[in-house]
Amino acid sequence: MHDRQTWRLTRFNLRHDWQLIILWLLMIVGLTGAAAGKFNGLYGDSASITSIVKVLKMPAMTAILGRFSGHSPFTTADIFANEMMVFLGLFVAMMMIFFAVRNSRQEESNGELELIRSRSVSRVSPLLAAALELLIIAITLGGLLFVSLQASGMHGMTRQGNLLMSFSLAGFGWAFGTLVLVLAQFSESPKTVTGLSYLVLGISYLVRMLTDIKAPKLSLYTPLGWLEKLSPYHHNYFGPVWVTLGIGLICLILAVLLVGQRDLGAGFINPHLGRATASPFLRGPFSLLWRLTKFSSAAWLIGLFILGMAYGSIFNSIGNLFKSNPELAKIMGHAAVSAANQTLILQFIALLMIVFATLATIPALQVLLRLNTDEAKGQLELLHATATPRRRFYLSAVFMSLLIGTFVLVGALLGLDTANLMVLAHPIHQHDFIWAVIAYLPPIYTTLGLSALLVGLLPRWQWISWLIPAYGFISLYLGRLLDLPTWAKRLTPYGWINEVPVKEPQIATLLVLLLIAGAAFLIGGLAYCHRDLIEN
Amino acid sequence: MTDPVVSIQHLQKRFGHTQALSDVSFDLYPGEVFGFIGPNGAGKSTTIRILLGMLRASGGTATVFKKNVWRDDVAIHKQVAYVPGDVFLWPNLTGGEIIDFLLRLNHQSHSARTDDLIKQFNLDPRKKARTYSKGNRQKVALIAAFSLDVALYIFDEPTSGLDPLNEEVFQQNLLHLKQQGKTVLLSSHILSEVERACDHVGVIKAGRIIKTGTLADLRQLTSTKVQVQTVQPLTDLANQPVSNLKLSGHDTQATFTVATNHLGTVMDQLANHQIVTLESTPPTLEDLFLHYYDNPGDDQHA
Ligand SMILES: Nc1ncnc2c1ncn2[C@@H]1O[C@H](COP(=O)(O)OP(=O)(O)OP(=O)(O)O)[C@@H](O)[C@H]1O
Ligand SMILES: [Mg+2]
Repeated sequence: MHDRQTWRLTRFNLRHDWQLIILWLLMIVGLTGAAAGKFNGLYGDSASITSIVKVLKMPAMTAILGRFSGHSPFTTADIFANEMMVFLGLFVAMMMIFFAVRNSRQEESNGELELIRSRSVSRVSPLLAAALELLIIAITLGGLLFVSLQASGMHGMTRQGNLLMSFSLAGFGWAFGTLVLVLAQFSESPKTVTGLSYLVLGISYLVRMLTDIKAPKLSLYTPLGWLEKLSPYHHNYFGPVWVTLGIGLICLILAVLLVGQRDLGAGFINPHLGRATASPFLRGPFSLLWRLTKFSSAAWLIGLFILGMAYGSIFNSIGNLFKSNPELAKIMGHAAVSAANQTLILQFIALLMIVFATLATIPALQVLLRLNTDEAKGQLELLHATATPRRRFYLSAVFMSLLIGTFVLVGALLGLDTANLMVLAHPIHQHDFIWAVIAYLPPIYTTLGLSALLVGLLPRWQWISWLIPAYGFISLYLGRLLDLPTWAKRLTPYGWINEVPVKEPQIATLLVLLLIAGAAFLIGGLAYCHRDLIEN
Repeated sequence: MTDPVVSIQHLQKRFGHTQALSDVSFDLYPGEVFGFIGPNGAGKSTTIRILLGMLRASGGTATVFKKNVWRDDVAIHKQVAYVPGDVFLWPNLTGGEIIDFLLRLNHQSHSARTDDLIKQFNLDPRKKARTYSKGNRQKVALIAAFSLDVALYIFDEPTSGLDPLNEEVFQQNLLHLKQQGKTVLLSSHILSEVERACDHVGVIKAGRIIKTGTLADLRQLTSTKVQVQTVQPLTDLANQPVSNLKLSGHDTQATFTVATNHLGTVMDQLANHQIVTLESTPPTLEDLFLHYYDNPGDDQHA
């Protein structure tokens, strides 16, 4: 009875979600398959393998992609595993956060669960149904990854190794998803649950980075670290996979115990009484947005500051040619080495800027899209009947998103600079950081502008906006390793910034980007003010 | 004659392939309380959203205070209070904050009247909106609307979630508006509510206004049920404009229905038969609605 209902709910949820599941799986599997298929061309011979191994062993790459492991002779498959594992782990975790929140808290806060629970469905059934859906997604993911890896025909791959790669990612994803189900019991707001989940993911990424650089053995104690210690195509350690599954099971049990303890729709963090009257500052759409987003914006700001600090704290390991390439350093002489060290760090910063810029876009975009998401929730209907013109709603959202994007990016660079001043004897110059900010604000603004265009013209398609930072991140972050052509990198605004601060920013490009942003904001605004508001 | 506050002429609205409104016309004069009724999906909310400039009409004209509802929306909204049928609030804000915020967006502020309304509706303004029930969310919107001092009040099924006590508070405040000579547009399914407060009614069905007028006008078109006992047999009643005639007790007892506008002639006829008892049931508002909701073709013979 009990499990029949669970299965029935799972099928119901799957019917709801299948298009989104396919979209996510296509993205992840497509990315993996495309990369794996290209690798023989990129790193097929021993010369190219030797040179990429050198790059991957540099501390900067370790920080970003994970520690290079294995022993020579290296094969193409080794390069693939080392380059992609942590990165894919992040992606899989993001997918799982999405579906776990969707089928737990989101369903509950929508009131859908209330309808379901009123039928003869037990308290835990919906939770088990969510966990089952996550498992189905994970297994499908594992299977598809395996098939695509097998089909890639990379030199040096083994069936065993491909199996390990695919299902370790699937297992990691499932365990992370069940962890999200636990987190979902604590707060009644799906947004908070998503935030908490990303916080956990972010922290485990940071801890992995720090341990990989400073104490590689300790990485074993971080979830993402397990993905690095599998030694696929060599030792093929399946142990970590079982550990992740065990942890997933423990999380699931924990979630079941917790869900039995609480009321429907409630969390463990109880809402307290608030103000009886509004503060004098709450007077218009802008202050309303501020009131609604101040905590999450602050969290983003602090989060990116810390991320910046964490990256900055490894500057001394990255810009240390004596350690990473002693023979070269000896030949070069002191002054040249110090210049080369600086360049290494600047290159690292240039890569980090892509991370910071795309991350800073996320909270900014969220605020901007509220124009339609809050509308669809019916929350704006009361406001639109007041004597506040539509353009003020639009302008408020636009300014708030620009502000958030700007401050979060600046916060990340402040963190980076703070650590820079702390750890380096000869710190990177301040103007390099300032130029980095100046160069990367315009593409953020352009992304927001293009999204505003969608908000105004095609409100039902505004989710497409998310593809801009997502693709921007993938194409630039992995672009060099995957040898993407320039045009493919320039499909998003971020791709037009040329390795600042290694090179000087091109002012003309920045101005064009700003111009596009301005025009897009204008057209989007006109469209927004002259169309039907979407009602439910 | 004074100018209408709301004037709608042949309003049309199309959403993609659905024709939500095909022909809506009515006028609302100062001091009138207008009941806007019609079955689910008839187009009441759509009409109201066009009046508020949220949706753009596909055809026809609509003006409020003689201003174009789409172009001059902000100027109009300064003198309008609105309560939607489904009230959704930001879960993190308290009811009190939302009420004040809504007032400020209309350039008005929290007054003694607001406090009074909070007390009348028995709302705890310090609770976060996420903890409010449907009725409580509706109260937030109602309090904000009633504390505004404006010329036109628009309510879209405002009491669908209220308990009888709060519904009574709503009625009291509605009557208060009426006494002050405010103009009110009230869309509702609750017929007693409409009957009590509204002097004019418009019936909309499938995007078309099929009848407007006073309640008395509307009653004219429906039938009254009559039970009568007379001394002389009533066999000749069959020649009269009555329907559902049933005779019993040696034809001295009859029950029948008669169109309300023919009631007079039939009564004259009955009087000739020496009435012993007579009982007539006027059409309830429910009959009235069923009559209009069921017969789309009946709009023309007013
Ligand atoms: N945004 C929209 N897109 C498409 N169709 C819509 C939209 N809004 C309303 N409709 C359609 O227009 C018609 C009128 O809807 P409306 O909400 O005005 O009805 P209503 O009279 O308020 O009904 P109810 O009594 O149920 O509130 C319905 O058929 C509805 O499905
Ligand atoms: Mg409606």
